Amino acid sequence: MTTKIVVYYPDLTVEYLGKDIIRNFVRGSQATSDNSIIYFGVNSQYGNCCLYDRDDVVLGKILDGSITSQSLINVFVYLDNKKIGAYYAEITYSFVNKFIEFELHDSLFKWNKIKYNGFTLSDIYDDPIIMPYSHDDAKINGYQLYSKLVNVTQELGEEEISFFKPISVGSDLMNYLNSIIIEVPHIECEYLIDAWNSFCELITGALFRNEDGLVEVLVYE
Amino acid sequence: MSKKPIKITKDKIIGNVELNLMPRNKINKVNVTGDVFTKGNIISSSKELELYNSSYDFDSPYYLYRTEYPDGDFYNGDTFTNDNLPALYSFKYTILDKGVFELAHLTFVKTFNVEFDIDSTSFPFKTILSDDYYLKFKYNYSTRNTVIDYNSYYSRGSSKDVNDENEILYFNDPTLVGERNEVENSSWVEIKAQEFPQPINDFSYDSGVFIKVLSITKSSSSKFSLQLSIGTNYLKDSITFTYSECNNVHFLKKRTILEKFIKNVTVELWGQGYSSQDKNIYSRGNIFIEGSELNIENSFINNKTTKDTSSYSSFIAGKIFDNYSKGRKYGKFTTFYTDFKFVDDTVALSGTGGNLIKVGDLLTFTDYLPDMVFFVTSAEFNAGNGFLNIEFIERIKQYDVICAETTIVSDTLII
Repeated sequence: MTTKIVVYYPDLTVEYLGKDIIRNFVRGSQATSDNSIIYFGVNSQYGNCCLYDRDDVVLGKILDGSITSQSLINVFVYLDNKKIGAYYAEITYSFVNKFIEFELHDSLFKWNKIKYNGFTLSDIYDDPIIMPYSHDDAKINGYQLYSKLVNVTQELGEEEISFFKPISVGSDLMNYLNSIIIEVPHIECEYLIDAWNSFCELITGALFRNEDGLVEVLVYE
Repeated sequence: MSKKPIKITKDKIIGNVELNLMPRNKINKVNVTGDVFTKGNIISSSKELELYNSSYDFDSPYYLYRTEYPDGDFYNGDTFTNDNLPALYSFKYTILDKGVFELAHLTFVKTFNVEFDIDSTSFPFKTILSDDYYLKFKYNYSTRNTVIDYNSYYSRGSSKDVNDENEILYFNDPTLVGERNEVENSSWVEIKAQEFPQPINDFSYDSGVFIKVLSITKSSSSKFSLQLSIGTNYLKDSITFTYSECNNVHFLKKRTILEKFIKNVTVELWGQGYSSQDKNIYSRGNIFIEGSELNIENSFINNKTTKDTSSYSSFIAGKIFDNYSKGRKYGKFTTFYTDFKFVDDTVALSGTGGNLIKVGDLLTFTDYLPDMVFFVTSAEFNAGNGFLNIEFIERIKQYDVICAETTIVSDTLII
């Protein structure tokens, strides 16, 4: 089992292998935060690791101001040469031993910070993609709602549509979503994740990013 | 297409499999909270237009409608602007008889562009306003009795014969004198959607104010801009002429006018929509577990949300309740970075090359619980030791499981 961690600092890419990995990565996905309670919502991948700053390359970037607390740092983790996770990282640098602690989150975590005020019946009615049932109302089914949120997420600059993948787990998810009719579809919320959490509650399922980087929908049945 | 469960044999398990039942005895009740929507005629947007001041500023073209009673002769549609607007009282009257006349209204019509903000949280919207929509309006006005002495203003039409009974009297704008009394009039008048837009010359004179929709523009997803023509009968109620006669010539001495000033008009756009304003709280998914409460507040789930033909709110509440009342099983165990097969012995994970059990996969513990299928709800991989911590939850839906082994070793289970 070989591991590799590639970190994309601003203007600097470093591959960490072997001894440069002080503590190897832990990465996980949680669809429920507590299995004893049914929880429906968005769950992001997480991880952590500790890496050694050989030759002070990262330190130099910190000292010259290239890396700040606001810097966007991407981390790819590889297991046996297969990428098994892509993350955004928050780092803590230890000047004493040149260890860099990484806290990893996937892009779903960012949905907590993306402003989104929801949508109205009018938005649904006028949506050229959703195409409501008739000109007398704006009702949609669960799959149309899913499509709406996918489009919204993309419009907000997050995720390509190709990243979304409604998976069928033991049942035909499409049929299931189509069977849910929302005659008054609207939502008022503050952040993007609120809308997705509401969607998960509606379908009694969870949303998470899988190892291939796809956003998947899981329904508990 | 259904997924196949991954076979977890006892040699794949590090330590024990921890298996628990959901705390079915700790559910006190299941409540549901949600929104009740009522579909019907509801107000979409309301605008108050100030006409009182605008009647005097003359900063835009007016249409002046004049009617001379009692002969019923109409002079409609003359257009006046700042440049050619006649003084308010310089229009002509045809005097047919002595006495007091109910006559004349002088109707000013002005065009307003009004943008209605649709309350889009409760409205289903059209790209155009259609039959489902209509306008309602009401107005407030004040009145003033004005007495005008024309002795000093009167001039006779020079081209007319003094013996002409239909002599036309011309007079200029006198000084307005009178007391103003505020009067509230709040009667609502409806304009059905089918009636607009209307040509402007279809005005009737039965009311003190008239509104017609000239055009409708959809300015954004939740805004409609209506061009409204609003006409006010500036002189409506009565004009009393007092005059004297000398050598068969009528001398206008005094005119008393009860003037009506339209102060403002409130215009409302109504339509068929869902009212969320009277939303009520009713039972939905409050689940009490060990004194704690799980609240689900979801605007997608309301009394208009259904699954097939049943209410979705009751569906989801029942589903959550079933998870506990049936004692849905959940648990966790630890495995490692290796190969796995499906229950039909085909290769599921090669064991190397970065393949891992992941969230959403299905599992079956063929040595212990061969008839049960579990979802993987959490998968945490530690690259330091190659361990994979798995959490799972029972899959309730019936699933065809092909089991090669049926032995249950119960002492490895913690229930």
